[in-house]
Amino acid sequence: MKKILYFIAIFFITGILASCEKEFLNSFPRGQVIAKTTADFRKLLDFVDNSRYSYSLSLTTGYVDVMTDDCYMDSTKWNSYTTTREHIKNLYAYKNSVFTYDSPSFTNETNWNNQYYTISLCSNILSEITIATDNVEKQKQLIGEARVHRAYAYLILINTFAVHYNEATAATDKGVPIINNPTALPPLDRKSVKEVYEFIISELESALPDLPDDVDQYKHRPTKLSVYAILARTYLYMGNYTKALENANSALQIRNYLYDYNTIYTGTVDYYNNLIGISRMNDEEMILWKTFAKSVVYTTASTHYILDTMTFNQLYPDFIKNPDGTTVNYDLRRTLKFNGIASNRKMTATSTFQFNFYNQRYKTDSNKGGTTCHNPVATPEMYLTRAECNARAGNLQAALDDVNAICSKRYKTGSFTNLTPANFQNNKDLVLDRVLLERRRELYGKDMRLYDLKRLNLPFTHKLGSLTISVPANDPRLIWPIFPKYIEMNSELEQNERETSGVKYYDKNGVEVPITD
Amino acid sequence: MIPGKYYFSMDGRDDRYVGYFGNFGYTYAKKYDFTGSIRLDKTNLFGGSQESPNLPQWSLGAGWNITEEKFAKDIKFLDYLKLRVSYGWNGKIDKTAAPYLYGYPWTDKVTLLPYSAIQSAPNPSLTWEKTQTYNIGVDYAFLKNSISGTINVYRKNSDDCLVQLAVNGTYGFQNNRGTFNGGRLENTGLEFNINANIVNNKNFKWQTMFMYSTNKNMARGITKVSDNTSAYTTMAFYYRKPDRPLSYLAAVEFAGYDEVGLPKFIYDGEVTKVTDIANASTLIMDKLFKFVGQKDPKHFGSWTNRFIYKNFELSLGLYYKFGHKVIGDYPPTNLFTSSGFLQPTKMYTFLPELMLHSWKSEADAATAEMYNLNNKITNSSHTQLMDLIMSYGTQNVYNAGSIRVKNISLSYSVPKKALSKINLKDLRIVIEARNLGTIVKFAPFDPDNPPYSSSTYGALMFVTRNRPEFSAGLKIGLF
Repeated sequence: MKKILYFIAIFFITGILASCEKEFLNSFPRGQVIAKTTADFRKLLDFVDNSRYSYSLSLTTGYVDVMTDDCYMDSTKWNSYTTTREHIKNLYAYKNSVFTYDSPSFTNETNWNNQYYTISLCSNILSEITIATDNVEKQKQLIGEARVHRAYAYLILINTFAVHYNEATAATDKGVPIINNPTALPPLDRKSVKEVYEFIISELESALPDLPDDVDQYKHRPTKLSVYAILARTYLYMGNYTKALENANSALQIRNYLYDYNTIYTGTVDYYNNLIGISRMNDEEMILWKTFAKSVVYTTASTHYILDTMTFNQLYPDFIKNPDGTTVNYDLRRTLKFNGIASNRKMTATSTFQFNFYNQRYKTDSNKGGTTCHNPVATPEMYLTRAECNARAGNLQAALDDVNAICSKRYKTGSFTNLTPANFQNNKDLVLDRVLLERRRELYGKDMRLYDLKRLNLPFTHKLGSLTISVPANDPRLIWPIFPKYIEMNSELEQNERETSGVKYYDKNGVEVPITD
Repeated sequence: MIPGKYYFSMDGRDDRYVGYFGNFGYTYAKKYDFTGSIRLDKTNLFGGSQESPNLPQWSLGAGWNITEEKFAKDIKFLDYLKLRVSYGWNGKIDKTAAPYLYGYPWTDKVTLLPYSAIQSAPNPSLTWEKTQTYNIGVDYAFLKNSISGTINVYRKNSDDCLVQLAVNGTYGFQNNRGTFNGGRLENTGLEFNINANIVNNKNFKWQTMFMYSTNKNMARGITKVSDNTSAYTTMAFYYRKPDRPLSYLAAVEFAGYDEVGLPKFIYDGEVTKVTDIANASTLIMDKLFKFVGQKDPKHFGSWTNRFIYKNFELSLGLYYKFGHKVIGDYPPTNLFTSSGFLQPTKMYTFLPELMLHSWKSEADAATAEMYNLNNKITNSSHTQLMDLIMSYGTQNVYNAGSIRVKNISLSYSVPKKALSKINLKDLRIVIEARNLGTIVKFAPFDPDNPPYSSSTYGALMFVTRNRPEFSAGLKIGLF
């Protein structure tokens, strides 16, 4: 009998222990933040700081525009791109073999990897956030934010690594893999360009209702404003100008601020000091804060955004050269965005013009230990998207109104006369060209020129020393190749072919030079 | 919030385990033992709601004490003989891997917002690494216990091995690495030790202890294989080659120097010059590398001898390891700048001997230990290949077998008689030397501490690890 009592006692004690156990194990390991509540997921979606870790949600691309007429490299500069940047050199020269450097430590291509990091993180957040039910409204907003970050990453990927959207062939053109469940390591077959664009649009549209209208001081958090802006860009790239116009309008209704460069640049002290004071916390033009890729261009975007004198003066022609060598700039962007003019406002001896804008502009942030590297989605792009759509639709006055709005803020007060359709003989194409010229000037240095070259079917040339590299419109080499090691690990991931190309090389006498690779 | 507080402190962890376990032992007629244990482990490391935390671990064993049997009692020289068998299951988890999202807290310096930096991607399918162990053993003693020891044969099969692997950058994992259950590991081994009292007189004793282990392991069931140099050389975070030992070593077959003093190698059975390869990324790794052995020893153990003469005791311990290979020292990598010339700054840890014995003319072809430094190399593929050959070329693979002196100690115990006068119980003087280096080796350097002079870290480690230690001690027992 005693024995039986013992057994019963032991049985009960075990039962009690077993019932405690569940509680005990449900507590998560400490020392890290485990995402359970909306407050935790808020923290995950605020992970945009690049001063500590090599990845974050803010990182985008770097060096995309080396393949355009917005970059000029002399041979010294060109030769300085070695090892893990050797592909930049080959892309600049439009060579057939791009990833010529191989090393066990060279395992990633940043442009691809950064976007997929964002995609992976957002996908993981989206699949885990279902447990954060403490505040349903907040939860919905966070879901929306994750969708916007992810859609933006896909928009960059599809434009960098695939042929440009073409309604007729998009359903069969190779896009990029869509990965919603990265931890399951799904196969990496490339979805069609159309599927990727459809995914981007559906993600953005489903995010829209749950987001606040305008940005606050935390400009890395997606809002309705950023959804409209990204949709405007997406539709513009798709050639759907009606929708692009609609969304650009919606974005501008929420925020249409433009800085008057006359107030930033007073012209009496050096431009450098006048830029201090703007932060990513209070930049009124900013729609969604993003940066360039960290490992490619960490401290400065200016290392490759260089123009030769001729191109520079052609692109920003509004200046007067005084007999003493000083210049009076009507287009203040000449001074503000480039280092061609020294602090004494004289032309420097350099024959090239280095883009220096965003690095200097956000000096306040770098003084706090943040990054100086910025590439946000901003209001000027919306003006220019709207202008382009209007020009294409024949609303010439409306198109020029937006150009005027920008120029009147970018030119020295009194030096810019508003443009009217009459200045362009009421010719739609001429107005469109003027809008696109303004687009190139205003969006210089934002890694978006390549996408414009692709979508506008523009041939172009750029120089490498005395060699002229001539790239025809829509050349297959305008598409970034996929890093071979990714294909090596997953053979289903198909490469972008660049073997057949119409790229030609000419020496300084205009004689074609045969290039073996 | 103080940045750094979380990152650097270890006390913040709260890893919880719950274990239920039971043991039983039963001996029948002093002859037959039965042992068993069972435990049920659960942990919060896999997340409370998952199925994975449960892992029943158990083992069963049986012993047969042969010397208790009647027939064995007649064998005069046999003192003890026992046969043991056991079988068990156990599991292992990796604390760094978890099937949920977690991150380290930090503060954005510009917005001053707290944020979490994701450190691991959740992996809901992650589970325990399970190991199955079979063991047969014999414990013995004979000749009045002057010879005794054990013999063990085991087989351990680990399933769902937790491995950290490089993940395709397209999956967007932090640092492109993740922990996965991948593949199986099969371990078979034999261990034995013999303790013998060879001489056992009153004034002179000689005891010897010999231990031997051999292990053979094989990684199986690996379906994903990386085809890059790392998968053959450093193997860090890459899919390893299947059906090879865990520590396999692969090397490029070195084939001398060409007419300008740059290394040649065998590629796909053909002698190839470095300069024949315009683009190293086109090389097929299987044709470039051959497997030349393993980095872990196949046979290893120790041999200790103690000699006791009156109050003096001399002890000599030896370690031995055989059947494995090691990579020797190699010059710094990327010796040439992009313009093709030698970088003087790379030479700070350069081995002077290598420089001295570098290829200078065709007369050096057979004896040179280093390629021609007086060359202009502009193609980075050539630099990469030379760096690969100089480090992971067959000319740099050495037999790592060695016998080394673990320790020698000499002690003297002051006789009890003398001690009783000064009221001490015990007084012993010991002098000891440790880490005296190898007495037998096949490589031109200590294979356990290869110098690796081209990395400052390796060179420093070489200096610190290779120092013999000497000590002298006095041991006093008061009561």
